[in-house]
Amino acid sequence: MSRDGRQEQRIADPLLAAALADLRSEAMEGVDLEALRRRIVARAELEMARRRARRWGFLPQPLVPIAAAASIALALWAGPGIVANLAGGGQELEFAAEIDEEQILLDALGSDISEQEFRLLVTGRANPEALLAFVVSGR
Amino acid sequence: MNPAQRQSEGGPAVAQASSLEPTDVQLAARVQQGDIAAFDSLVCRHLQRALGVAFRLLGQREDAEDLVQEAFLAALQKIDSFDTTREFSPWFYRILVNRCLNARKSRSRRSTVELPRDATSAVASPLLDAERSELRYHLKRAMQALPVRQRTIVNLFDLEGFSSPEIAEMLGISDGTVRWHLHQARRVLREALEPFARRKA
Repeated sequence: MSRDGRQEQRIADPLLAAALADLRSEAMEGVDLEALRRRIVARAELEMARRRARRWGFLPQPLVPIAAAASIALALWAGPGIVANLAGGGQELEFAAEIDEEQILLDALGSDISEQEFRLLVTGRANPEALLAFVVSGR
Repeated sequence: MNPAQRQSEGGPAVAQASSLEPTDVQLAARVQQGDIAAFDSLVCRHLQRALGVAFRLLGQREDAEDLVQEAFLAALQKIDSFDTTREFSPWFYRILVNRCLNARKSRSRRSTVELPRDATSAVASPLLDAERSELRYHLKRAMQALPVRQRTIVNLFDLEGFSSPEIAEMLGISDGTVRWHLHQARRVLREALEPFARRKA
């Protein structure tokens, strides 16, 4: 038997075969296949959009409160410091401290102040022994 | 209908797999993922044949166009239920044929009697065309008189080139039943054309 069984079902009667062949050749005149295809695909795009909307519409609804609750729990557990670190706040604070020290030294060098006032301004130590001890200890 | 023609019009997926083109089943799987271009390709492949099937079953082009459009969109809506281990063609044409048969049924309830489109054209045609038209007219009349299932099977097998297993899947009946109906329908059609054949002889 052939794959689709058409060979076994051939029309024996020549007149009927001719009549059916003639009917088969009856063209689909006046049909704009391209326009019909465009109409179908345009409607299909709407259907696809609806399918996408359904998919996205279903997923977040239960996930949004869960995600919000998880974020709040993480923030409470880690403390406020992690928020500043996550935002790069820690680096900014260290950088600001360096600027301040440098600025104080420059201001002190450029200003008309006594040696004792200079020591006090830069190290906070008034007498030479205290200043020496501060320098030796490396602080 | 030759094999190449059958393949281009949505023939078996096995035949299509040998070419570089994606098979209908591969395209349908992409449509399931939301690929509109894949759906467009399926429409391109099956539109002409689908229109032919709908036209044969409905007898009116406008109705056929509407039904084909509806069938493609229904297929898209049901695409998630399509089993990608099976062939696309019988699945899709089953949707189309069912819709056409339902449309016919509801139309016949409104008691419209269909006349073959070229029933009067024989009068104005040259002799050869008149003979052809007359033959066509008798054949169409005989086909109209067939039971719906037999008429559908003749249309799908003899005019649209579907195989009997494909038709069996479309109509939800066995291959043997399709062959039996085809045999019966052809016998009736042959008898209907006998007077014409005798006159011609």
